[in-house]
Amino acid sequence: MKMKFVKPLLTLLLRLLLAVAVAAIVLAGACILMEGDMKEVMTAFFLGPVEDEYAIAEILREMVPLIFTGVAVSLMVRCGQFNMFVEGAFFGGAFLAGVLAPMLGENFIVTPVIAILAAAVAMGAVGYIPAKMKSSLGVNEFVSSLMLNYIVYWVVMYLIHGVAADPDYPNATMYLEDAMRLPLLNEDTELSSNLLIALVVALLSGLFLFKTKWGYALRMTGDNPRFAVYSGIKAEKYVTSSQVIGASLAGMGGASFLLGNYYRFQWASLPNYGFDGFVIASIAGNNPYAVPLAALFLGYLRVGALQVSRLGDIPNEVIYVIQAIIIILFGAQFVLSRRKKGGRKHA
Amino acid sequence: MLEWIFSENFLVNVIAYAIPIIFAAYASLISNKAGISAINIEGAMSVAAVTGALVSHFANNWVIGLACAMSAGILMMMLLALSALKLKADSFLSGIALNTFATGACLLIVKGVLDGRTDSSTAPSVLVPHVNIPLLSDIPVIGKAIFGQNLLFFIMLAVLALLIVLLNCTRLGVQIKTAGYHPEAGESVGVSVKRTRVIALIICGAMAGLGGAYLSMANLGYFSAGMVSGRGFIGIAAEAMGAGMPIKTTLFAFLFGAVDYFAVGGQTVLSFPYELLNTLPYLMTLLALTIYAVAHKKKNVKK
Amino acid sequence: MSELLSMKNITKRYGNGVLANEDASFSLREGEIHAIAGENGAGKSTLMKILFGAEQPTEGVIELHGKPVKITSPKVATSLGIGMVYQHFMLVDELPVYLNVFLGVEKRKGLLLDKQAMIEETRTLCEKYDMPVDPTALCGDLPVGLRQKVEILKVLARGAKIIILDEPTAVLTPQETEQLFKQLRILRDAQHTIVIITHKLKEMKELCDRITIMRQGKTMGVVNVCDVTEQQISELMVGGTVRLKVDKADVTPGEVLAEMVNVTVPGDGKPKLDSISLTARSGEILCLAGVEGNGQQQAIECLTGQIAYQGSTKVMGQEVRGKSVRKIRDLGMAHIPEDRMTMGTDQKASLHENLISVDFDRNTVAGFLKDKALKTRSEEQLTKFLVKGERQTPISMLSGGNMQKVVVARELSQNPKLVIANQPTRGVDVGAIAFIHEKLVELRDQGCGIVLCSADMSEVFSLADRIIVFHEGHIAAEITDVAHCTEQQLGRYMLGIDRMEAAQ
Repeated sequence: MKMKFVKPLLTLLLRLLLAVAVAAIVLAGACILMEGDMKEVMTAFFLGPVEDEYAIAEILREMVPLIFTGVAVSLMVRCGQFNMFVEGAFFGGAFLAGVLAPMLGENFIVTPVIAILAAAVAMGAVGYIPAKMKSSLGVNEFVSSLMLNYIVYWVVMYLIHGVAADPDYPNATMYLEDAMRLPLLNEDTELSSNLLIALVVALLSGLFLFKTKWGYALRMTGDNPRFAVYSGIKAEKYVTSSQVIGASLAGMGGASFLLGNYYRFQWASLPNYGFDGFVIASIAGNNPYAVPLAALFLGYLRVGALQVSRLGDIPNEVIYVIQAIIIILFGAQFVLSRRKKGGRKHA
Repeated sequence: MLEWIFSENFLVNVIAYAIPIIFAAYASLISNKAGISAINIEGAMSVAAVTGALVSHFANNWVIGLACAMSAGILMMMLLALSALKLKADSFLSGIALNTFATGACLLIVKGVLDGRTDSSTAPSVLVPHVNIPLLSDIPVIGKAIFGQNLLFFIMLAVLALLIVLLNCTRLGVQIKTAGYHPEAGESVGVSVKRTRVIALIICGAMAGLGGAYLSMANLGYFSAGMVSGRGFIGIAAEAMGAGMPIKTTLFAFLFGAVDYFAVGGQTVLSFPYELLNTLPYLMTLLALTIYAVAHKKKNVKK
Repeated sequence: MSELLSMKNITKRYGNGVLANEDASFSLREGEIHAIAGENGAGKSTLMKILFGAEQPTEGVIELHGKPVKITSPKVATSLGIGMVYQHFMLVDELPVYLNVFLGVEKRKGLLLDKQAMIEETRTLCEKYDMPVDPTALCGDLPVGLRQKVEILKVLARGAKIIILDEPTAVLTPQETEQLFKQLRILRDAQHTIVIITHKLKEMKELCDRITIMRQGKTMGVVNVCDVTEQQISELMVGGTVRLKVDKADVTPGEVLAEMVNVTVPGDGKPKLDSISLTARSGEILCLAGVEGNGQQQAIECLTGQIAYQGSTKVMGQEVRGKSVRKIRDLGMAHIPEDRMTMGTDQKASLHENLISVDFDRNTVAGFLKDKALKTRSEEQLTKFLVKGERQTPISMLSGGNMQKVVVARELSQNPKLVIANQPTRGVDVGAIAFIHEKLVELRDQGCGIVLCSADMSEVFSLADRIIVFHEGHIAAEITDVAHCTEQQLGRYMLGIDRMEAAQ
């Protein structure tokens, strides 16, 4: 039994080390190209994120959207669905929460909870479109969900420039009073309780996926839909529902993130958290239990990159480059332990 | 509105908007034929756009700019080849990763070169010239649109012809189809599937490069972050609708281009919120995908 | 006759330690037809892949015309005049016959393909070896028998003198097999040397000159066909005596368990199933026989709820048309599917997860799986069905026979009243075949109904109590007296040469 955990853990550690090495190499390259001080940059990157409680709180804040989208993507990928609507749902969920919370008034806890649930339901409903198109008509969910992202984005833009906007504050929703938001865990660092929601969501999703009959059916459908259908599992149902659940969790994430960390919704572009979800899911091996760890890891790197950009020479975008290389390394077979190596069968 | 639609300018602009989508669709076509999906066409276009814009500016020469843009597109596809073919990572995940990579790389490049700016309007590109075919371009309505177009329009027509010949009449075409439809069959007769896919990705990268270059070196005179805005993905959708056939794919890409321009051009002509007009190309793609799927399903049921 | 080729002391060890060949030797004489025989996993295919350059030996040498050669790739093998026809055809369906024949060695005029020359040459080859194939037809449109001919043409077009065929008759009808044998003899007479991998005793006796017998990666010996009996070959192959006949009690068919009435499945042009009716009863093994693609597959798919159709199908007296797979299974039907890799298992999941797929949702508390109870049950099933293999790893690590036993264990542990068994022993070793047959007969003797669909004639004859023969979507014959029906007669029904009047 013990061996069952030791080996994957070692592989994970090895991969994380590799990822850190990649980050260091990319940064070193950036230093040379952009004339940064190598020692200063490396210190900022590796030690900056833990230099004080504010930096640590920053990592924890970064983790929240990553956990939500990471879990959402994990559930969908486990069912074999590469749905990009996590991006749009996160954005739409945040917007909805921003609009709904002021309408619900200042009811401590009740308002944010209702707003978050409403966002989850609404985004699940929108997510049903590409999901159903896939399960009933076989429309490639990747393309359709991407298109849906842009549609959601422009509709939100339309609303935020008009009916949903604060008359005194252009291109933003109404101000969120403290009682409409999620409570803070720490007044000083402004760490929000949405982190707890995210962790609970990850835990419950893991239980759902590995311990319940629905999770089992979902995984079988993802691994081999023909086998699922043959066994009497309604594969279509899981193809649809995994995407709806994913969209719904992403919507929930957007809402929790907004109500925890912002006072208004005023995002002008898609936040890219949906794509981040794929990064997290691939680091976590599509395992919801491992998602918070993966998010911690990526959060650390991101705050590191932020600290580096504060030095002035290397822009924050360097993190995208690091991230891309990490996904590829994590997806690459030579470090991927789940697939067998050389296990060929002979006739 | 009708007056606008039937104006000479409308067709000129529709073609202009369709060109990058058509190139993206060709890129998708050639890679899909070889059995590897390249969803980082989007990112490759973006990197090509920034490369073309900056190189043409500093070299003061559009030919060099165009060549470098194509090389940049190819480079991005070679990264996909490295990841998906060499390291055996999932091609889909690799594509997503490389799109992220492209987002970062473009901003790093433009910020690095132009001191923190996110567009290159201060360093305008040297444009790819327009070609005016005498007499023919004077034909009313369609003359200017077809015979007075940017050079890249004519390159696109040439690429279409070459694609058809390549796929149907050359050894490489047979190898590409084999790699896509039955890779083991290729391997069994000593045709390296990996090598074929790499070649297909080189062509794919060049196409994406042309599409990207068109955006920053013909359509707009500079690079700006996010300027591809889903055109690569729409190209992929167009190819899906065209079912891998070059002419059908071109027509669908053209249609998507038309809607794209309708949304942009309509903002000044129509009294309709521009945000909602902007959803048109995406709604249209979604709708077209659905109709196509329904029609396809019906056809299969009849069988 | 001179020694044309010899493989000496070949050992093949894979990276994971699996020993596929151990000190195996093989030799060929010019102009012979040579069989390589052995049960599944005996190392026949590996040895031939080594000869064709698709695998590299760990140890050993290959000599051609007495000179040592290194066959590092199929390309090298081809240049040495060695060609291989795989069991799973290596044809691109979307390309025409002539491009498949010249795949990888296309003729060109300048930069472009010289289509005319390739079509002409394909036609010449067809005429020379008496193969009626249209060079310009799309490969995907051809029936299996012709597709195999395209494969042979492909090998000939590359100038192969030694042709290896991997289980060429597995997908053919008796008549197509006859045709193939005729062609192989023509090729032999034209000084080609032919190797066929097979485990069918009859074919070896009928076609071959010599047989090399393999067992557990080693060569057990080479015999001249005229010197030995089938029984002797079989003993060399598996050691002990193989029971070719299955012991079973006399048939006592009982109540009707499944009934299809006027079932039609539409197809391109003509229907795949044209208004057929049949019944399956308890306590009997009903065999659906037919050449691939004549409707028996569709009949199975209708019974198991996999496809849409017109007409009526009743299971346990209840109409099941349009019902979900789950509903049909709940009536007491178990289904061993044709393809264990793509349908019968989830290759990425563990043995346990593969065993619970059909009734996991009946073993839950508030939606949560009863993990412990289910795991114990799985362990019992694996023991009962003699499955060998690591429990924790994905099922893909198991051998074909063990994997099939997992599928059978799952299906037969559901206390089924009716078992649909589709090619239950395809590609499975002799031991597992006997075991699976035993289990099916055991269930039948207990009063369970079995519907068996099999392409293996000996399986059909040894198990069936009744045979229904399909031809072009119709029922061509219903044979109740199986003991007195010959293989030839069954073949005639399958090909539509004969037809039983009473069948429809």
